[in-house]
This record gives sequence, C-alpha cells and structure tokens, in this order.
Amino acid sequence: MTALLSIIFLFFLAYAGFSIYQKYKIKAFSLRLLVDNGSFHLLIGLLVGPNLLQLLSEDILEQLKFLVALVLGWAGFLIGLQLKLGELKRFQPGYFLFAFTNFILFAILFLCSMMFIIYIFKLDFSPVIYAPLILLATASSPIIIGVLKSAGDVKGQLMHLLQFSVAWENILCVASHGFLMIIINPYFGFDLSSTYVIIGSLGFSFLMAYLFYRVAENIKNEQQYFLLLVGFLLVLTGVTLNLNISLIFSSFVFGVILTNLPIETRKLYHSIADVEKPLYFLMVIFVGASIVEFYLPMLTITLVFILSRTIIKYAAGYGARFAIENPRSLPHKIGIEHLGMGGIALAMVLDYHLNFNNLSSQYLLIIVAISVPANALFYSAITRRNV
Amino acid sequence: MIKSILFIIIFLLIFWGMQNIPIPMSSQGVSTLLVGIILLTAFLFADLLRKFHLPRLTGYMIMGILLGAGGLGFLTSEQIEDFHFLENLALSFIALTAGGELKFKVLKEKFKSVSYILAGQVIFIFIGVFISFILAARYFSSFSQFDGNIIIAFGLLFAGTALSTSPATTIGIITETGAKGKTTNIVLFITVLKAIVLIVLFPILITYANTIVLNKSGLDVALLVKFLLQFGSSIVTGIIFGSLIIWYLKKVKVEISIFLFAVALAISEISPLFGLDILLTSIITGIVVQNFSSQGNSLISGIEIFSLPIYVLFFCLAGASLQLELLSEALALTIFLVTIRFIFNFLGNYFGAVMAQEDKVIRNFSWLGYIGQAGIALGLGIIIKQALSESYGNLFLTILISTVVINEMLGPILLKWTFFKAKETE
Repeated sequence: MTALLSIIFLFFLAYAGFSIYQKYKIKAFSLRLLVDNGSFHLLIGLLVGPNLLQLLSEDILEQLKFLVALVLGWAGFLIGLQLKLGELKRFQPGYFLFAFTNFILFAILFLCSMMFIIYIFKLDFSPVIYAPLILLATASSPIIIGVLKSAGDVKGQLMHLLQFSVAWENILCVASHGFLMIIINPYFGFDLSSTYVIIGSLGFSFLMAYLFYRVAENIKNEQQYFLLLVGFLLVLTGVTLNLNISLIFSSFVFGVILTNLPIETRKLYHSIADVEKPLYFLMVIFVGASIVEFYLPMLTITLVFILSRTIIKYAAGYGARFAIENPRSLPHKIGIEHLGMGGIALAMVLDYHLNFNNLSSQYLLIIVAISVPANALFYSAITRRNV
Repeated sequence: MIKSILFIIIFLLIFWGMQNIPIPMSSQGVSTLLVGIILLTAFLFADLLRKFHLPRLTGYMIMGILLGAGGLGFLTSEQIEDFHFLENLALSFIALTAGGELKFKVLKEKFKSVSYILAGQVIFIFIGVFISFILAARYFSSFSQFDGNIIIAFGLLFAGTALSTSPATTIGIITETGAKGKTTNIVLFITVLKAIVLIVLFPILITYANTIVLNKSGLDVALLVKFLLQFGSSIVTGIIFGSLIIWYLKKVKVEISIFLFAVALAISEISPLFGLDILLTSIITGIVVQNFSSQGNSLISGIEIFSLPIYVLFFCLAGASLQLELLSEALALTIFLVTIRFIFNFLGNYFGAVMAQEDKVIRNFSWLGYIGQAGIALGLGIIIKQALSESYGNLFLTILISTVVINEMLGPILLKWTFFKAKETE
C-alpha cells in the first residue's frame, strides 16, 4: 500500500468512526468519553499498524512523517490560539493561583512517585524519560470537562474554573514540553547551543506570526486566509522538522503571538474549523500505528502510572485548593476532574516520538495509548457515572 | 507592491538559509518547507500581478518558472517528480469541480450553441491544423527530411492535441473572477466536453497514426480494446465515487470539505494503479453528483475551501515544469502551430456560433477562452511519445511542449479578458 493510499485509508477509517458516532447519539457517559477522546481511533491505529495487521508499515509511517508533522503543527497552533492575553483579565486571580499550584504540585509529587517506583521495581529507565513522562501525566484532557458540561453535571463558576484550569495546565505543558525537547535534543546538548535554538525557534515563530499578520491584514476572502494559514504552518513545520525541535511548540508560539496581534481571530477559527476534528482523529490513529512493538511488562508499569497519576491528581487538586482564598468553596475531589488524558498528551508523545524515535519514545507511546482509554473508564468508575 | 516583493524575498531567503545550514536536512522536512514556500510566494506574486490586471493563474505559473530549474533552482526536476502526486491530486480536484459545474439542465438550454460550436471547433481545428501542417512541414528543418507518411502521422497528432483546452485553466479563472453567465457556461461546457471527446478520440488517432501510417501494419485491436476498457472502467469508477459522495452528502453531512478532499485523493491514487483516467473519472464523479442528486451545490461549496491552495500548487508546479529552453529549439514551428491553432480556433468558433445564431460576444470573442492548454495536452503528448519510436516521440513532445508553454501563458489572460468582455465577471 502506498503512503498516499494509506492516508486515504486513514481518512475513511476516521470518517467511518465519526459517522457512526454522529448517527447514533451515545448516551452512556463512559462510552461518550471513549469516543470523544479518540480511544477507538487509537485502537484502529494499533490494529492497522506494523504491530498487528501491518496495513501501515514502518516505511509508510516514515513517508507519512510530513503529514504527522503538519497535524502536530496544527494541534500546537490551536492550543496557542487559546492564549489571548487580553482575555485573561476576565479571570479572577484565584483561578491562576489554583491552576499554577495544581500544575507545580502535581509535577513535584509525580516526580517523587516515579523515582520511588523506579527505585522499588529497579527499572532500567533513563533519567531523560522522567521529564516527558511527568509532562504527559500532567496534561489533562478538556474532553471530560466538555462531556460534563454538555451533560449538565457541573455548572456555573466551578465549570468555569475547571475549563480555565485544564486549558492553562495544557498551555504550561506544551510550553514546558517545547523547552524540554530543545534541551534534550541530541543535536544541541545541554550547552549554550540549546539557548540559541530556544531563542532562534522563538524568534522564527515570532517572525512567521508577524509576517502572517502583515500579509493577512488586507485579506477578506476566507479561502485566501486558509491558504495563508496552511502555507505559514507548512513553512514553520518544515523548518522545525529540519531542526529536530518540537513541532507543537513552535506552532504553539505562532498561535499565541497571532491571537494576541490585532487580528480578527473569528476569521482564523472559521477558516480552520472544518479540518480540526479530522486532523485530531488522524493524529490519534498515528499514535496507535506508531507503536511498533508491544512490551508486556509495560502493562504493569502503565497500571502503576495510571494509579499513581490518579492519586496524585487528587492530591494536587486537594492541595491546590488552599492556594485560593476560600478553599471550602471547591470540592475536595476537584483534582479527579483533571484525570482525563487526550489530545495534548497524544500530541506531545507523538512529537517526542517523531523527534527521537527510540525505545524511550516507544515506552511513552505505550503508556499514553493505554492510559487514554483506561483513564476515561477509570474516571467513570471513580465518579460512578453510568457504571 | 514593495511589501509583497519584500515578503517574497524573505520567504525565498528562509528556504535558501535552510538549505545552507550545517544540519542534515530530512527530505520530508525539505518537501514540507518547499510546499509552504510555493504556496506563499506564488500567492503573493499573483497578488502583485493583479495590479497589472493579469490573472492570478499567470502569477502562479510565473512564480513556478522562477522557482524552477530554469530560474532560482529551488524546485529541481527530482522535486517536481516527487510532487507528481500533488499534481494528480490537483487535477482530480479540478476535474471534480469541472464535472460538478456541468449541469445537464443548463446544458439542455444551451445545447444548440454548445453542439454547433463544439462541432465547428473540432472540425475546423482538426482539419485546419492537419492540412496546414502537411503543406508547411517541409519548410521547417525538423521535418524537411521526412517522407509523406511521417508528416501525415505528425499532422494527425498535432491536429489532435491542438483540440485540447485546459479545464484547469477554465475552472481556475471562473473561480478567480467569479464569472457567471451565458459565455461562461458555454466556454465551460465546451472545454469539459472537448476533454471527454479527446479521451475517446485519441486512442483511435494514436493507433491509426502509429500502426497504419508509420508502421504500415494492420489495426492494433488490442491497443484499441485497452483504451476502450480504460474509458469504460473510468466511467464506472466515476459513477461509484459519485454515488459515494451523494450518500455522504445526504446521510453524514459533516466536514464535507475534508471528505471531498479524501475522495479526490482516492481517485488520484487509485486511478494509476488500475489504469484509469484521472480526469475522466473525476469529471464523471462530479457530473453524477451534480445531475443525479440534489447535492450539486454542497459539492461545489465543499470543494471551495481547498480550491485555492490546489490551484496555486497545480499552476506553480506546471510553471516549474515548463521547459522554456525547448522553445528555442523549434521556435519557428512552434509559432506556426500556435498561430494556426489560433486562426482555426477562431474560425471554428465563429462558424459554430453563426450556425447557432449566437450573439456578437460569443461569435467574435469566446474563441479566446479555448487557448489555454496544460495537463491534457501534455498527458496526450506523453502517451504519444510512448506509443511512437524514441526519435519520433521525442521530436513530437519537444514541439508540443513548446506550443503548450505559449498557449498556457496566454490562455488565462485571454480567458479572463473574454469573461470581462462578456461582462460576466464579478
């Protein structure tokens, strides 16, 4: 099967799943979570990948690298678009305090627990893997919040805080992930060259955003807007791909700058709305297909990962409440609402895999691929929704 | 204007800079970057040309020439070859649009004009170019040594390819100018129908020229059967894809643009595997959706969002592929062929329009809408080259490419002017 036919195949698979979902409105909470976070697409990816049916061989996956790069670029760009600094004024300072504390607390606690587990089980894990693992564990999926909102289970200020905290957490994750990828990049090492690359890549994203702003300022036509956006993202991902730095990070910075320039963001959203969901599902399929070998002991490690993540999510949420003025106004299990794992974690792990493509990246892929559906089910079980 | 030039220079410098940094570049990274650079520079350049009232398509092609091997050398012939799948995808997308614009209801209203003008063009151009070439061939150095049969064979093939008009140019200019009206409909119908006529006519022509005139052997039935099978299976595949789109547009109705993009991709990839004609398959798909369902408008609007990047890539790559250096090799013959094609195009169109009692604009100006030549002509040229012996094949293709270069550069400008003259542009 040629690389392009594989894309078509993936597109149609993604569509088949999506159409079924559209046709049969799923009511069961846990099933909705599984569908929305792309668990079934992940499974399809795993099935058609080199590990099982081999419809997508490793060679084809290599040829499709440019598409994965574009999808990741797109994902980073969308996350970046959320960070409109002017709109942050709308949120209470307590929201920021809660989100930051939650993020930091979780990262520290999770690092300690990972070191403890690795020490107890005497696992041969490179220290380089700790940092991406922590960031992957920290990222929360907004899907649980979305499903809770649409089901009407959580409303008002609490829903507002949850949405803010998850979005903020993901922004921090992507930013930290980007810096981390440059620091641990074998091309640059831990010396001054990393600093140059960080500054250089930030500068390039700034340049691209500024150029977009200047080129797009007189454009009214939606098609031309779409063309410019695709063109700029291609240039950005092309350069990033060649420099072996994080794809989601550079496009994230591009998105952040763009959304903060005096540009009509509604036009931006409108021109990309059509391609957002299919590209997400495509990315999830790629994650599944990128798992080339399955290591059985990883099941135990993943189980430990999920359990420790759940406990620490709860603990971090519980602790972060005390950062705000009236901790009792928030439920003690608020951290559990951050349990979901989805798009951001998948994009980060794929980005990591694309850059390093080694045993560590395979470990991370397996952990995330299992955690995404498992967390959704686990969340339903803990919160006793439709179980 | 200076701003656009400055931006183009910045993008070109980015690409040049990336090529020269001391880090090993991945081919995937280079291709991704290059596609982005093509999209942005061609778009900006075309925008620049609009100030001189030139069509965007011309801008895309000129940028392609600048980026190509004859210009800055950013787009090498290997890279153009790598991007061949993009050209096929674009062709499929454009033909899908062309088929989607072919409404039987409107065609029925304009049937008299379309059929007379089409017949006039086919007869006048084919016979006119054929006879003119036979009479003049001996005066050109490339053909002065050839005997009569070879000249007849070449005459037939040049006359056949002279019939082709680029649906991509027509659709591209219609999309760009937002042209609507009688002239637009007639030009579009004739262009699409001519493409179908050519797909049917050409196998017969090649077989006749190659086996009977050049090799003086019997009719190659196997070759004809092969072409007929290709024709039939392309139609059947087009009907299947058309039905699939109708089902999707009726039942699923979400993210239509991406689905149509996937269908175009499927057609462009599946067609070469099964020996189908991409153009015919896509046109039939579009025709089926437009005329056998109520989903025609959804098809056209679904295609719209992707159309601009597709046109930019297609025409920019077409520009980069133009072998300008070949022009000098057979300049006199090229000018002769282009001129007689112009003359008989006008005559065929004029007589057809007079017979159909059409108005002055159609009679005197609409022939300018059929000048553009691109993919079909080159595609036919390649088929001819493969069917003929190497020396004849190369000679034919060299001259054909030279004529296509001129026609393709003039085509969009003249077509835009035709729609402007007919007062059908937005």
